[in-house]
Amino acid sequence: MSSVDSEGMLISERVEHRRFQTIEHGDLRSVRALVVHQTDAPTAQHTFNGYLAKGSGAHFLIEKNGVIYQTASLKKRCYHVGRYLRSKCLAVDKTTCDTPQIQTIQALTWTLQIRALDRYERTKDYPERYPMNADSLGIELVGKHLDAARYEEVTAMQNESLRWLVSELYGHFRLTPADVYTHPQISYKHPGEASSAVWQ
Amino acid sequence: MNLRPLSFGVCVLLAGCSSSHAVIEDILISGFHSDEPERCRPSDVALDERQVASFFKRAEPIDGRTLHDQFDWAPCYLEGTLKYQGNACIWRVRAGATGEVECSASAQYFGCKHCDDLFKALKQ
Repeated sequence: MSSVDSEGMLISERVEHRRFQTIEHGDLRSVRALVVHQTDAPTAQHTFNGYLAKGSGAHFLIEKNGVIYQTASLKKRCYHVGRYLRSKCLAVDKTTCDTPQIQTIQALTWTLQIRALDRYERTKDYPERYPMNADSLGIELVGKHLDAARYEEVTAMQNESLRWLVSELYGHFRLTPADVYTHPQISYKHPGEASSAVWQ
Repeated sequence: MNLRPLSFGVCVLLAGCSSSHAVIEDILISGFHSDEPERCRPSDVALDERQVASFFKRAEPIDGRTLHDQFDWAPCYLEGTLKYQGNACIWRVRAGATGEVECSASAQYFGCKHCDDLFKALKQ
């Protein structure tokens, strides 16, 4: 069982703190969802090096051997979702879309569609839309991108740690399995990213 | 569709294939593919061979992380073959102004931030 301290750090013997304030961007007002990523890096250290230099990142990082690092405060926002949100109503239940508006958007070319869909989706509240940086936590799994279709398989130890971490975060933020997504589900990313992650 | 290979060279850096600048040539379009045909259509990547060559000439070779962080992964692409150092390679150009060249076991990604005239959709 874990707890969360006043700094937003998860307190548990299973979690090592490696906080990078370089990837924190203002306060995170609420946590409504979790987004699972893969790093496209061979080790956690490669990602730590990147966190020193740039602004995007996630709250947790799980090494291939299952070690869980907390890399940002749970009270701080990280840039992990990406530029444009996919449409949840189009992916999950088209009957819940504003049909005339969606038809207008879908008539656009792909590049314009993704911008227009993003603007449309951001007018909604979660869970009617996919999570944004402002209401979600990111969990990175160490793993290289292999080719245009695949990332490395998530290891059994990573999945065991992911299951534990997600379960703890369910309790701290009143989340359910319906609130956990992989990165390419919610944004326009490589379809293989986190495809072998298992959290339930 | 014109199936005659484009036989002028394009000087690009194929980091996955070689550490030096090299010429790619004989660009030939073989087809279009979409994982989301209702949303990502042939008109989103309506390039001829000369425009494909122009894309690879202007695009930057990028690693997978840069592709992930700075570009959008489009579910449709134009694909074909080209020659690199005499070897047959496969190329793809995606609607999000990204591309790939695969030569045997190695691959290189490309991203172009100055290809608006090739992807006319960006200008609408």
